[in-house]
Amino acid sequence: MRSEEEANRAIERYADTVRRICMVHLKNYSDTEDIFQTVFLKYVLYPEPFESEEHEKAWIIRVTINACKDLLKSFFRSRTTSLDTLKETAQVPDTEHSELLDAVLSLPEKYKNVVYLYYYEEYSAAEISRILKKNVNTVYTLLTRARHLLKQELEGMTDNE
Amino acid sequence: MNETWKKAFDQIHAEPELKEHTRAYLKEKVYRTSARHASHIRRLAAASVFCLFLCAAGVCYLFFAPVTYISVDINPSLELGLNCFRRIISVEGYNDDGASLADSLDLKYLDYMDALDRILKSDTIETLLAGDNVLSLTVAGESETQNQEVLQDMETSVSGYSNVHCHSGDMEEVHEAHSCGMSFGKYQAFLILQELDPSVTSEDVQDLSMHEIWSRIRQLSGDSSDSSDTGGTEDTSGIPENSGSDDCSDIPEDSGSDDCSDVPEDSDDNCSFSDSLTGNGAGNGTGNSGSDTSENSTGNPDTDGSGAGNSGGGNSGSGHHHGEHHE
Repeated sequence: MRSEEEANRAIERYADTVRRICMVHLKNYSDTEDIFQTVFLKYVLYPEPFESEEHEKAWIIRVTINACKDLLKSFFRSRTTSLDTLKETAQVPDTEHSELLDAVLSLPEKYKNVVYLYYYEEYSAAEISRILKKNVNTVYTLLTRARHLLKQELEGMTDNE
Repeated sequence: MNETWKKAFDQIHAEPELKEHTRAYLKEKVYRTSARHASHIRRLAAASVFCLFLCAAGVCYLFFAPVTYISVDINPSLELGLNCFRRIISVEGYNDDGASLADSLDLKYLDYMDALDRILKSDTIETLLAGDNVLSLTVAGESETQNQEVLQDMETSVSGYSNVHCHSGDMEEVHEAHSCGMSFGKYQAFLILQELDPSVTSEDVQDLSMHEIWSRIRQLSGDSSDSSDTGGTEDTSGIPENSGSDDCSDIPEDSGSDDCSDVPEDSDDNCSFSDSLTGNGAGNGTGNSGSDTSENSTGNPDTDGSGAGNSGGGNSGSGHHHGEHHE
């Protein structure tokens, strides 16, 4: 078990990353809070040492994505939420970049992780394939389709304006 | 393109309260239970220390609680208290000689066999034993099995001595002995003496040596058994010499000349004793106790009736006694 200092350090370091993944997947704040608790509890109880900070970060990302998936699975089974909550919870203060974020959020679930990891975290396709436990070619395919969808979305937005 | 992505996602930060809630959650969920766990360990440690303390106290109690007493009586009279590990934990002298002997020998915490050895080999005891004194060792205690074992061990270790005797007794008598200010062996002897002569008190006995008490007992009781075998002559002739010198105050006054006729007057049921004594006296007494008893006894060693008849005529000193027989 990790000490309280280690836990606090990890929260400081990875809270933003976890928050971003939650933002991409989840629609309300209380779910985000649940994910935070799950992820950092798992971190504290994880017995193995991490090889490097990179390893640690990848571990956090994967645990967060899995936690989000689990929550969404149970979420859809138990209740339905209106799309309005999306607008409430998504942190989109800057209008310029809100378009991009909105476009990402409007993507189907299966593309979100790949897009986030590839464009923001700047992982390579091979690394993403390891994190998501997917074939590299699958990652490439997902990326291509996501890019295509995003392009459509963003162009549509600019067209509307 | 990447710049846009960076800018877009960089705006997103975890809210401070989100971090705070997570920290609080971990504290509550993980670290407090571990703190509770630590307090459990601390409590367990305290409990085990307490248990250890109790065990130590128990062992101390066992070690310092006397279970068996060995009373050593010759003239110095002392008592050894043994714990259940058979070590000497108390040494008490019951008269001045005993106290000084106890002080001179460092017996505490010795194994009882070593202690006994030390006592028997001490100068005081060796000289006393050489001088025809009787040493009595008495074992008493709560544990019957330990008493028996101790007694057996002692008997084997003193088997080389002819004038050392071992007995066993019970705890109640030990306590009574202590309340009378006597060691247990002496108290037992005193009880036997008191049975024979109820006028004897514990104060009388306190200053007597064991040898003196036993000779008085033999004097009072042993003679009836001695009368059956004439070998008792040595005993009876031996006792008056001692008693005449330093023993009880009432006997010596008369004992020099005719103690045998005097003793029966103290207690009524000793008539036969007087007869037997005089009978014994007949064997060797015609020369030394020259007066009336010898005259009487020479004629009647066997039959009571005729003896009484004779004494009625000639023995004015103990006349009323023999008169009872007459009637």
